[in-house]
Amino acid sequence: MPRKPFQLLALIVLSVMITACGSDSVTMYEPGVYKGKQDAAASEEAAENRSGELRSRAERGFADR
Amino acid sequence: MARMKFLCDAERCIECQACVTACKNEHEVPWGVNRRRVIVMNDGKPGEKAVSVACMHCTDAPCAAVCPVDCFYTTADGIVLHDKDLCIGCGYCFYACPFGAPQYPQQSAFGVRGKMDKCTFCAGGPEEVHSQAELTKYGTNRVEEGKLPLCAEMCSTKALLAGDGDIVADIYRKRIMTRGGRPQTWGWQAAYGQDA
Amino acid sequence: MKLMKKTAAGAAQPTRGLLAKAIGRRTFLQGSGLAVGGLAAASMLPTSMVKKAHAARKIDRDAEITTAKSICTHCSVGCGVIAEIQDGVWVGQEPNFDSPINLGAHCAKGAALRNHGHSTRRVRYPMKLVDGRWERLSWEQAVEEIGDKLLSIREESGPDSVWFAGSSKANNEGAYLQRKFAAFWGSNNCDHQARICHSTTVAGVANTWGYGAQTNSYNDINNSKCIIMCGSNAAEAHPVAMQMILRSKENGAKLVVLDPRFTRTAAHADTYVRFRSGTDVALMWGILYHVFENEWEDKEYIRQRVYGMDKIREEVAKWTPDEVERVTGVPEDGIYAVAKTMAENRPGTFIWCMGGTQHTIGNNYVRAYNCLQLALGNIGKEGGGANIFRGHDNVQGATDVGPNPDNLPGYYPIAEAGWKHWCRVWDVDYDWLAARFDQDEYDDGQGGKVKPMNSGGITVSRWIDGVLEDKENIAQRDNLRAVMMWGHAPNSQTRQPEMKRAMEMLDMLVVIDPYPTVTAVLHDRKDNTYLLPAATQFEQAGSCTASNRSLQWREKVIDPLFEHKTDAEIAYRFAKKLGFADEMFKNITVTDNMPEPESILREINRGTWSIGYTGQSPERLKAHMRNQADFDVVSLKARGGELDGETYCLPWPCYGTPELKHPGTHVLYDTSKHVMEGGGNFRANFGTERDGETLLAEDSWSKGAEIEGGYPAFDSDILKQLGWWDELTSEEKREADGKSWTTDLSGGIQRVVMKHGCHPFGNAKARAIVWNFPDSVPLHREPLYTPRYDLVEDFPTYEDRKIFYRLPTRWESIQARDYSREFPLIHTSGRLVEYEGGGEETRSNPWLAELKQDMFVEINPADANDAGVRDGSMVWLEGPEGGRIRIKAMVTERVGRGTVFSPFHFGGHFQGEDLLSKYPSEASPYVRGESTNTATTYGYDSVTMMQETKTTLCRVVPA
Repeated sequence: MPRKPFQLLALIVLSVMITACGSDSVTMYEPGVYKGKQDAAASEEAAENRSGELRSRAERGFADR
Repeated sequence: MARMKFLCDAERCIECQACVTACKNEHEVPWGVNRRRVIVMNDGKPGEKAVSVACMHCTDAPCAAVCPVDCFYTTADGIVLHDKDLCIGCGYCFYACPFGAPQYPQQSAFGVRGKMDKCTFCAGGPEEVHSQAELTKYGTNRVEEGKLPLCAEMCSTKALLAGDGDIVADIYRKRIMTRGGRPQTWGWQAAYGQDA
Repeated sequence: MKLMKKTAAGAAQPTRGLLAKAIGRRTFLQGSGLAVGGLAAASMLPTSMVKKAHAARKIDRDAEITTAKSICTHCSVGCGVIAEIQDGVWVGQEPNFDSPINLGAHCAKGAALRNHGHSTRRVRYPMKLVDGRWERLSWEQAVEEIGDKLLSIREESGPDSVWFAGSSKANNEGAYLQRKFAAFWGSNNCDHQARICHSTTVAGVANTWGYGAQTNSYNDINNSKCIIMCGSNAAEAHPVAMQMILRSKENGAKLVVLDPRFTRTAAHADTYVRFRSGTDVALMWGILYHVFENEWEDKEYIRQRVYGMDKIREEVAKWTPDEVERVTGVPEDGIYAVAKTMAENRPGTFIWCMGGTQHTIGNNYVRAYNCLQLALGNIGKEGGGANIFRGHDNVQGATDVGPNPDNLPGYYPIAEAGWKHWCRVWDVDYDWLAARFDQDEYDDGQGGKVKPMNSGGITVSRWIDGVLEDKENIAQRDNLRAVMMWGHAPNSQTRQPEMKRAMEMLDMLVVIDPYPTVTAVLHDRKDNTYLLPAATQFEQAGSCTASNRSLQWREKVIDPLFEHKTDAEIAYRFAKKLGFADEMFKNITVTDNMPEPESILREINRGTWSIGYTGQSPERLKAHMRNQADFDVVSLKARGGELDGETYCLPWPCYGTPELKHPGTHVLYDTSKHVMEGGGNFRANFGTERDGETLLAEDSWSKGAEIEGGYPAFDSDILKQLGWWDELTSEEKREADGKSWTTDLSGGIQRVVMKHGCHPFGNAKARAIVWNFPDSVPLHREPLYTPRYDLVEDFPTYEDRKIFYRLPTRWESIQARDYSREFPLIHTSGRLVEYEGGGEETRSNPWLAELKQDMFVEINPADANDAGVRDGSMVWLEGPEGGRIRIKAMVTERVGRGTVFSPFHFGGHFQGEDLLSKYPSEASPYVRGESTNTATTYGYDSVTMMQETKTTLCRVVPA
């Protein structure tokens, strides 16, 4: 007897979950692909922009003056 | 393109823990979470050596390879970062990491792991640069200010070096020449491969 | 509670792979600490801190962030700090790459400084014990109550019944006011950390060659060919100094470490020699034996610049390699290797710290080191020197101008002449000041009588005996009845069980400190106990003197937190209550109860001619801090810029007035430079002749000196004889006539003398023998508690003395008993890198406290097995005077068989009991533990009253 309501519940939950896949707030997993927030500072351009400053910082900070 | 790297000069490291507290200071990492720690070998015996260890920002990062939700990404200058909103705190990266870098803050009772936390090379994370969200989740973003990780910048003997791999290697090479000794680039091969 | 334990333990990370191989002190203590200490600590943290991934501070990137330059407050290296401030909050800390001293570097403590800016573990407002509980009161009420009590005690028992501990952590200005405060109160009963830090060094080196300070600098070690470190663990105590030491080593210098313990410093040495704690004199004579045997000594240097080396030679001859091995345990080849290394690699520098000072014959150790360096001709040379690394950030400055019981600022004597000099500087009437003191006369310990104004006060190492000793035996009117701990941790002093008793006997106990300190909790007092919140040095401006004698200027980073007040303001408020503020602050600008640091420094400048603290005006110091990048790292000399040619932060002596622009002295006694370029020679301070032999230098003088040879110190008469008198201006003449180079307030004598290339303090030889000390030739004497009782007959200690610094002091009556069977292990103590001093401040900093959560004892595996002790288990360490501490055992070969080591920074536990409940709520440190000094013993240096903490006995039993 208790099996039936349980199955019903499971069905409802499952259908809600499947519906949720269409929602924007859920990230669909794809192996090997980063789907997190984009980090503007990770781009080639951002890295290029800071590289000069970071080089001189390293020379200033680590060379035995 | 620059390639950011850490290098710890074992001949200079005196195990003073400045790197550890500098990190705590900069990012206000809570008690029990250590993004960086100092490891001693042969403690108290001749041959005693210490090195400072954190995430080495590997070229082919094993943590990223095993992550079931692929929350890792690498910046164009080689800094390995991750998105805490994606992270599920499973702990696989900890088992994959040759350096034991990933940390899991305890988040509630029953020993449930929190989201993984690790060294960011002081480069924040996937949030708006210098935003409160970035500060809270990942700590400050020094790299965007043209500064290098504070642990290295404050190292008491300049044993811990950080920055563009070419410059770091260059500074280190000069030291080796003066010393006339063999290089002791602890962890470099594991992190950056054979030709590092 | 079970639940909590599980989660706390869960925070510990297992170490894997490469990391798993490393079992160090930290892994050992951290792993266990998280299970035990970590639980306690975590439960004390605000819950928000445990839960959040980051306790996020707010930084508004659009609003202005200002920066301030300060100096780290945790050791004497003097690391520059850059603080970032937003809206009055200290939000960031940046490396100061420009500072020529640290080049941006810090140790664990320096890198964690920002916590001082928002610590919640501090005493927040004045408090007092009411029936055993801490209650809040206002500053006004506190000063009123304490002041009334002080006045009534003074009425009943005289001014000497109050004892002040000043602080080596105060700025020069604060420390100077602490000394002036005691003087105007009418007593010499004040002291500070230097007593138990380097007092034997100061007395030893000052009496050997002139000044009681490090002769060279951390930076100058880059010029050394050989670096000897004896009783110094710089890797933990002065980590940033290791930057220079390791750089020098990379450039070819030989690094030799002599220490009973294989320290983290020793791990970097080319040569390490382990010897028995307490036998340094024998070790030095052992090295010198080979130097003389092989004629490695610098004969010409000795002829020109050293007096009494032949007497040393006679003593050294007794120390054959066999005898040295018998006493120190070091075989001949080890010692020969050290001697040869030193001889073949000159100039060599000799570094020592507490391991060489905290002994009953500490002054002998120091002078033995000096003799070795003098024999090799290493003093007064770049790359050579006695590089004495001092402890606290301003312990050098507080020694120079601060609260010392036996001298006045600038080392002026407490004899009448010294007081008269300072009364002129202070612009107060000498008779008025003298009347503030007790007028009776007491035993001076040498068969005479002396007034308290002219007798050395009770020292910080002995204040407890000033309370506990019978009144009849003390050379002052009454026992100590009130004690003010003004920036001093009590757990750094030996004999804690007796201290507890002394604290309980006092009429009043006052703590003035940012943190409660162990003084708040050690005793079972119920009332008349006060906690007054003092500001840290980041909450005020002022100068502080690094070990290398450079006076760096600290800018104020933030306003004092909560109700904290600066040392200067506290001095002013109490002076006002006690009725001498008008005289004491006569020439000092005071705004809103706060004396201005600049005007205090100018007063110091006006009086300290004897040590050249006169040229360092606040303006000059600030200019140096602005131009840090211009200074060379090795020579500390500015290259170009507005300060071209000056030495970084004008290391004293910086003679003459600020206008004279003396560049400061990088290397003391260096004859290769002109005196106006920081050159010099040994000081003429002990007469010109002894036993028919000259004490003045022969055929040696500083570059450009017009007197080519030795000469005495200058005064107006000598200037007249030399025909230099008329070079003084008429104004200078009026002041200088009848005065000497130390008492002429115009600076004219110094100006003219230096114009002629001469050194104001004369040109003499260094004294290898100090005839005014108990052992004129440094002798080995066994410690009072020695493991080698068989040697006591050959090397006995001193006779007891009836009066020494006002107190009866024992040596032989303690050594009379053999404790070595019941207490077979040598107990020695020292520093950890994470903590400083008594440790309250650093143990209240979570970034540091997390790293070292348990008090422990290092014990050799063999001794551990003998005692049935396992690694990580709890043990009782018991001292021969009954004190015992319950701590964790760390089994390690770092200590040799027969020696155990424990760190001295812990407090808050007492003989097995956690004193947490006695702290004011929320002001307890995160980490507490037994004080090593609960188990340490009696024993004091025969010249300075330095306490013995490096060689005593103990036994270790499982707990």
